Amino acid sequence: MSDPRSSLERIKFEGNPEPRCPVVLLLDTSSSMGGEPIQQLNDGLRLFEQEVKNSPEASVRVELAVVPFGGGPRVVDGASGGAQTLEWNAAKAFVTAGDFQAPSFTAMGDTPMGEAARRAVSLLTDVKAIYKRNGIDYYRPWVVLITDGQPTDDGWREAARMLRTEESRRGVTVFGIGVDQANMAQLGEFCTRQPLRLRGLAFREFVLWLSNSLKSTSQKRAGEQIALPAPSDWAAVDTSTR
Amino acid sequence: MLEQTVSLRPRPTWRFVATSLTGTSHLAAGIPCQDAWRCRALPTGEIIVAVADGAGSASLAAEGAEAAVGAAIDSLAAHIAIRYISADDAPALMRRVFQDCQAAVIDRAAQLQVEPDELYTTLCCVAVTDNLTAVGQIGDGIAILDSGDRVSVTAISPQRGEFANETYFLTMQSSLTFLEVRVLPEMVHALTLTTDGLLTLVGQGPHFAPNEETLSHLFDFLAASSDLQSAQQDLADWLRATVQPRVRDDLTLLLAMRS
Repeated sequence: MSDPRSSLERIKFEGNPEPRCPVVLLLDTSSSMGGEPIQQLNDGLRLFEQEVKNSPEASVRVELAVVPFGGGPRVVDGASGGAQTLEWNAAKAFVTAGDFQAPSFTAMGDTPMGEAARRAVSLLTDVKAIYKRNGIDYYRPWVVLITDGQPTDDGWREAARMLRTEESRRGVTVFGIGVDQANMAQLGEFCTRQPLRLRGLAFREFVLWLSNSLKSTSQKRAGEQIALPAPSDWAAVDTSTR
Repeated sequence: MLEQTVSLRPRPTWRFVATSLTGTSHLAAGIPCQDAWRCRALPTGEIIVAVADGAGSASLAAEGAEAAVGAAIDSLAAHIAIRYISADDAPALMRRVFQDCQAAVIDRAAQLQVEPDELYTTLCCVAVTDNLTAVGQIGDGIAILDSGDRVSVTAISPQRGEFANETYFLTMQSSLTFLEVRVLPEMVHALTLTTDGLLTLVGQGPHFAPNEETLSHLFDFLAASSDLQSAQQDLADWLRATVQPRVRDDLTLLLAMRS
């Protein structure tokens, strides 16, 4: 009789079997971010790359789409350090965190935050459909919206409402992060939870919090609650928002 | 965990192997394995099996999973011992079994002086008698049955919302409203139970269809294994070498088949 273990050896178990957590980084790279803020944002992205790559969970579960929106939203190739702008195609826009190469941005243009939010919703809707078609489990997607200003495009309120509605029906978790003189009240229209103002330019602390939070999303739980580490060391208390 | 009695009467006899491995993400975080399993082949020819997966967000989930599978096996065995169970009776019986399991987990929480939600766990169990196969589930376990003609049936698919980490737990409020029961009016030939860590091994596609090729190899392995203690070790070694490097969650796999 043959060795029973030979039956086990015939089993094919290929590909990445882990559930995925799609994350869209909506980054304000408008001209007002020039100087120290854009430098800190770029440094933060490099740190984020290290952190997610060093996490065995995040490196295979988190899938990132990077959308800078200074002068108009575009999705950049996260696998090549943002060297190329990609077409709006969810199949290409997301890169597994283990393959992420942090892009570096130059500040320019206005702040069409509404159009960026629409693009994020569209990318996430499409990537979820791709996961479903391929039998890939996924966690609730995240949108991280970082801005130092206020929306400049027509119709941003409608786009903000669309993103907030998506969050209300539990289709996405949105984190609004205000930098410097960001209009926190308008940023607050894009998310159901209160946006947080970055203390100074504490991108480093924020990135460490973000990567730690992403590691904890996979814990099995009942219903809605996401238990995230408290953002104590990077967020300032801001009473100017709702 | 291993309990088996060999019958002297011409009843069906069962062979089974099972293992739980602590997920690599749990090892890294110093968290114990929060999966549990039990299997008991009764001297009267029935087999009863259960797997449970404690919630990662609950501090004593491993205690909950252990309490749930222990209670499931004891309750099923007690019901089977006292009376014949028809296919019509099975759903109500399974409901009583899950009530017993809920009570056991709540009792365990009281012993540990914590709230029951600190012991949140899923539970999936199967009873196979000479006239039926009954499966009950609250949560995201997977039960796959093989009726003998090599056609596998996913008896129970994971209960999930849209997202992978959200499911129902045994001691949630109104959890019995989520109890799902499937009854086949026959004694199946073989069965597999897993927790969700092995969903992509035994299932495939958007609707968790059984991966028949993989299941066929797993049952061939069990059929060809003459020494079940060695087979248990072989199964654990294979999961550790093949699956664990790429799946970070706890892994539980239970295989049973009629001799």
